[in-house]
Amino acid sequence: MTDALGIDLKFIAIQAIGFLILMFILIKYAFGPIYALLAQRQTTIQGNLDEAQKRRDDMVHLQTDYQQRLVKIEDEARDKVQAAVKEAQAARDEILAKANADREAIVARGSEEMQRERDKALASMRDEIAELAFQAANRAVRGNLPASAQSQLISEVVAGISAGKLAQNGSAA
Amino acid sequence: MARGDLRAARRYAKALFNAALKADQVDSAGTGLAEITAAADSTPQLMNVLRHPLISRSRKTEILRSLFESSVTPLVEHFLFLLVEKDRAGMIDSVNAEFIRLVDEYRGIANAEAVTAVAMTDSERDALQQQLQTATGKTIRLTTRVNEEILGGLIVRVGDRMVDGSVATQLLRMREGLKQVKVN
Repeated sequence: MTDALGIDLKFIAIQAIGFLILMFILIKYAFGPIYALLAQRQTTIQGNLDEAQKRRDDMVHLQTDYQQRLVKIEDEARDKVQAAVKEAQAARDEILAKANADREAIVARGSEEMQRERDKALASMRDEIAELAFQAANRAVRGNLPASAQSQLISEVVAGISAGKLAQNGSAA
Repeated sequence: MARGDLRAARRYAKALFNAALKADQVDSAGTGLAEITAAADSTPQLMNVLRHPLISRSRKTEILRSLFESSVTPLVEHFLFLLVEKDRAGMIDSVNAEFIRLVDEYRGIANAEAVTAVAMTDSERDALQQQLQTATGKTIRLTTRVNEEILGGLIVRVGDRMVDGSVATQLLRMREGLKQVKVN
């Protein structure tokens, strides 16, 4: 049948053997390096992909980290602002309290000063009145007391003299 | 006069007073001492001699004897010599004053001075003397003086005690009282 079909089995066998040899040679000397090269290439690409994935993950992680940091920074900033506001309010309250205290002290001092000046003026006026009264009485009495009045004054002092009064050195009648 | 001199004068006066009292010669001693004091007061040269450090004590004694031998008792004369001996003759004035004070004290006599703006009448003077004698229990030897500055009333001093009933003082007190008035 092979003859009828023109098939030369020998040829086919030789072709097959040659093919096998070729396959063997190819497998032995060509496909190995090619596979190795391909595997290496695949590994490289996979490595690159992994690297890219890792970088991406890192980026995502960094982004998340940044976002967290931003949130934290925002929180801190908000806290700081609130603290600063509180501090400012405390400072304002303190300043206001001090200003009020100073104002009250100034008012009190002014009031005391006014009172002192008033007392001083009143005392001065009182002393002047006392001096004027003394001078007026002195002028009125000097040389104007009638003999009867002089006599009566002397009699009153004489009548008032007692042992007790004399015992007090310098006492007045 | 220094305080020490006054103490010494009191000591000498007391010694003379005690001696005179013992000899019953208080009056004559007082008279003699007063005479010597009057002579010393009226003759400054005598005091200068008695105080002079270059004149000897015997010379001073001699001078005093010639001056007072006939007029003072031996007791006073010897007392005077004692003062010279102790270099205390210069304080005869103080000794005399202290002696008078001791005699007055012994006899219950107190000196009083009344100051008035106008002269006191006899009746006022008598009344004052009587009142002072009653108050002190002593015989009062009263002297009066006029000082118009007291304006009216009376100031009496008996020894170191005083009653001031003058108008001037009352006016001063009134002024001080007015100055103490509290004003609001």
